[in-house]
Amino acid sequence: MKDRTSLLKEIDEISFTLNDLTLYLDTHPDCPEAVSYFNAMAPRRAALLKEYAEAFGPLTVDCIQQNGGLTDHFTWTDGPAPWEGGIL
Amino acid sequence: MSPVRNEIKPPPGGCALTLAMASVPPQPYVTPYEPDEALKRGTIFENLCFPFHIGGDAT
Repeated sequence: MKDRTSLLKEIDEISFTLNDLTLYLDTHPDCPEAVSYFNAMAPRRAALLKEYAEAFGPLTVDCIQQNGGLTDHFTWTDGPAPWEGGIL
Repeated sequence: MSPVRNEIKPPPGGCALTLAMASVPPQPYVTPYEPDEALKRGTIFENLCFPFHIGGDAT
């Protein structure tokens, strides 16, 4: 299994790629290559977020829902907070 | 009718500003960098990668 830091790094990288790609798509909404790249990258990001949430807890509130919702308690605070080394 | 003004009054203490025309070509799509490389370079597109070497090479 990937460790927390490298999984988070991958999420940062793919998130940046998607963010930069959306800037391009803003001005080129019909570019087929960019649309296809978006469709390749967006599910990869979603899968990484899911993988992270399963192993280390949700990164966003949306991740809670995508990983089956809450069971018996609020999982948001399960992991360490950023100032406790949660986000490295 | 007021005359055409190409000089914009500078803000107090600032430089005089002049109107200009910008010409920006459409950005062609090029194959993006892999995500790890893109984050290092600050862009996914090679044709927008303008590394500034002052202070060292970031990549």
